[in-house]
Amino acid sequence: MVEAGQAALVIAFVVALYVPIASFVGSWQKAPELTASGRYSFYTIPILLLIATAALIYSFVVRDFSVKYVFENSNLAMPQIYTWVAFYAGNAGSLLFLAVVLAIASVIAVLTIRKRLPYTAPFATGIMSLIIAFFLGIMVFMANPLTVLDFIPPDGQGINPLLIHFGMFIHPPLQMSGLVLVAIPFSIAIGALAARRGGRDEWVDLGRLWGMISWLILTIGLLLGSWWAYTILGWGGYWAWDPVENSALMPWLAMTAFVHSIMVQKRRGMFRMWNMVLIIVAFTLAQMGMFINRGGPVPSVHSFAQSAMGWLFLIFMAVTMVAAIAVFFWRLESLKSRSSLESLWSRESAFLGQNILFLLVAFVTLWGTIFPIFSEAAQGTVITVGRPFFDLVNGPLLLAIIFLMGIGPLLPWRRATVRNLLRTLRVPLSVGLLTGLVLVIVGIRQPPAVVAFATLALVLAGIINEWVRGTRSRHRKGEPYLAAFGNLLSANRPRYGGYIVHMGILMLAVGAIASSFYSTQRDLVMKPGEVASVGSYTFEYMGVEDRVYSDREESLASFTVFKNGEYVGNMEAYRAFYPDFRIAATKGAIRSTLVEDFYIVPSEFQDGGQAVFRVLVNPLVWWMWASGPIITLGIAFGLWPVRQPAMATARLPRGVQVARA
Amino acid sequence: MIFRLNKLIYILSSKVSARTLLAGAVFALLLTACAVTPEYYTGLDARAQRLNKNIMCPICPGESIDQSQATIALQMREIVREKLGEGWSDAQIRNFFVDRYGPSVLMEPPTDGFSILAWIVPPVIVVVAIVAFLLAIKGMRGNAQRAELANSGNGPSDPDNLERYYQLIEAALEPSLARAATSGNDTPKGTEESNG
Amino acid sequence: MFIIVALLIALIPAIAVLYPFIKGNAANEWLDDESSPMADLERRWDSAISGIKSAELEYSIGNLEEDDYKLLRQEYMREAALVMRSMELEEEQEAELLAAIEVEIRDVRERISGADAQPDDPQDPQEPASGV
Repeated sequence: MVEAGQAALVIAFVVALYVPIASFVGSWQKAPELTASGRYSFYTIPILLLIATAALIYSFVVRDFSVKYVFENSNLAMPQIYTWVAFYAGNAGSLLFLAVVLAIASVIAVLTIRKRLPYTAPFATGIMSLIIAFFLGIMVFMANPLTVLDFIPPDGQGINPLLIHFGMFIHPPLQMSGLVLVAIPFSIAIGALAARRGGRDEWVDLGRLWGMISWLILTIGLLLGSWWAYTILGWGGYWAWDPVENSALMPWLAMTAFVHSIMVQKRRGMFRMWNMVLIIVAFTLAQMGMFINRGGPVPSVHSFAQSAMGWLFLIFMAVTMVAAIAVFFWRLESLKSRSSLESLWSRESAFLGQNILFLLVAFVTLWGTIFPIFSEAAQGTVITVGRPFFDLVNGPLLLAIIFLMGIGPLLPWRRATVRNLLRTLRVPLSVGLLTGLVLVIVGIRQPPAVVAFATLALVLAGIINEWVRGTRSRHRKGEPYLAAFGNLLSANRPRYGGYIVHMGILMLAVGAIASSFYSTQRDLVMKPGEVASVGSYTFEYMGVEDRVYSDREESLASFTVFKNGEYVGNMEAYRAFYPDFRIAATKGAIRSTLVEDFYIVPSEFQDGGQAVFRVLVNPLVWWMWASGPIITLGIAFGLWPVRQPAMATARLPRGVQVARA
Repeated sequence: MIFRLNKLIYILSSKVSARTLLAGAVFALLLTACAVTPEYYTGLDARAQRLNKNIMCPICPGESIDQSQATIALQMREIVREKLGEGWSDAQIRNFFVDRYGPSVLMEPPTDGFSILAWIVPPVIVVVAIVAFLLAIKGMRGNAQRAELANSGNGPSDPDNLERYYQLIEAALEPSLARAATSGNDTPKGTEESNG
Repeated sequence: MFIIVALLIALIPAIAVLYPFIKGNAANEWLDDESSPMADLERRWDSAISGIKSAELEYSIGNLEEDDYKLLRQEYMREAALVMRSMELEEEQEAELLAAIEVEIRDVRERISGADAQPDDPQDPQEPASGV
């Protein structure tokens, strides 16, 4: 079985090199059999990689420790279900995972672009194949997941205990998938340029589709990562501006900018050059994300194995960037815009401003992440650029973005008069100010928090205001309210899908702001039987139970918890030590409600059952995780294609319809 | 664009009534009041937390002593508490740790020497970006106006030729109105619209 | 053993690679062109129509003033009308081209059947060049 996998891997690598050659030469020489051959063989790559994957999974399932990767990432004690996690836990396995995901998604993508972009398709296919070939090449020559050892060890080393959590079943695969899927809109865009079919927005519909798909997966991956950090790493927070987190955030920022400005290109044929640059930047950042995950120049909480192949990633990143830029300049002339910006007060310019803000956040994040390298090179001292820096510098920028999220949709396409804009702004602005006032009166006084919440209120008011006005205007034309609302939404799915996503972002923001400014945190030393209070919670530390497992030692603490005097339940938290890995893992006890999270984490167990606990009350955190499904719903709604009724006009040219989604 | 800005200011000032001004003043006052709330800045707990978030655990890569649960982190938090209790200032406590572990123990880059760049560059880039944005808008608008002037010559000579198309397009846009009138069905141009 | 397994697996892409050459009907690979004038016109038509619709929506919601609305709608309508006219022109040109090609084919056929002594000469009718 392993041999089949190894063979499939090497063959897939060869095929992945054949595809671009066949596609490019076939296009250039106008040899359709050659491009078809390239395309068909591209379709076989997922099959081959699935064979390799099956081989690896099979080796895990039967615990074949002669396979080096299985030896390094599992052991006899590991429950079977963690095979899934072990698959991508290590360097080589994660490469295979990336390759398989990219291969499958690329094939689906090629199937979608084949008919609609027949000239672009060979080039896009070739580019996607080259990217896959890179991953396969690294595997074949440097990090083969199916390498076999000379002997058969009796037991494996086991899986990193930090990975044994429900969140680890979905966060890393989604995060990695999100990063690698940025390759698809990139390939479509650059492929179109290379095929001389990029200057008239031919690729925009499909570029937008695949851009939004990769954006959604990146978003969910980031949310899940934060959630995992919050529930399992046990420090009470969810985002530390750690280099690995930052490297996943930056492509997300660029892609958020992209999915917005691509709408401008679709509607008005503008920002053609800008969007090309943007997708190149996004893909470069995505590659950097994958690079830093493999041991980059800056240390972090959870980088994988430090390996020399990081430098190969860097070279590949440089090569793709340079090649893409070369194609860009070669076809620069064709990218002149069809229309022009007409007014500062227009949706187009709001989108441009939003893009710039997102790129500024990305720049600041990048700057902070790599500045230690500069500092060390320039003056020899090592400094740290950590959370306080990013919070302080990125905070206002993010707030400005949220403010723009409220103002932008109020601006019509092309131009708006200032007088009208002020009239439209009246309701959201007054709601915002009122909210700020109320907050100050009620006791919420920290200026950044007040401004932030007021801004959120402003945005929400703007969205609801438009929904109300839109529904009312349809109602005036004769529809009952409910139908009017439903039709308003379904008639303008991209727009209202976007609003739903923005509501999700508001949920995310409110949770982040509330928990950043108004968390209560206490470190308490408690003996068994002692009772303590934090916020409105009173809890009794019942005691600690020590358990010994084959791979770890656990100390489990249990609590009886009361809120406002009423019993709300028992909670358990533990701290485990894994001697093989010399890692201590903590799992906090969290009681989560819509209003706040009550959170106990054991910091240290001392003699006699005495322990140090960190206790937190984090407001509104639930809303952050709840935003995920809302955002997904919004994207799905926005991408849902509109079924066009047949156009019954005698004289309209064939094939012309009133509008397409 | 300067013209637009002037217009904006004029409109704003002419729309603002005395009541609004009063409300605005009160609000500004309240905001200033909350800005100088003492607790936020001088409470011991708050100070301890802020310091802890600013000091890195030396052996844990990238975690503050607030974040990390390692023994040394706990010890360092103890030290911070002690020194705060003894009346040390934030800066003194920070320097204490820097003396022992070097400047990398602080989570923020220091504000002296080369590292001041870390703080200066972002605001500078933000300002540059805003200026670039405004210039870009001005430039693009300039092109739009020139293009309009160039195209305006075609306008008057065409209307008759395009009239037939106008009618067809209007008919294509409003087929549902006729349908709605006869069958009383809902979903007007609803299903055909797609904008965003 | 490994060789046999490898060869068997390699068969999968091998078939895929060779299939188009064997089947030989890949001529319609580039039948349509996403950059053809017609495709471009259709995209511009889409933008113009969605422009009209979004202007109507913005106006009904109140984000757009009446004057601006009327002006924008007029501009979009003009664009749509121009596109429509260009589309008809394109279609006329295509029709003319096809007609001309048909005439040529007929000529050639007549010449062949006239000048040729062998009546049973099944010439495959030439397919008109597609996707100009």
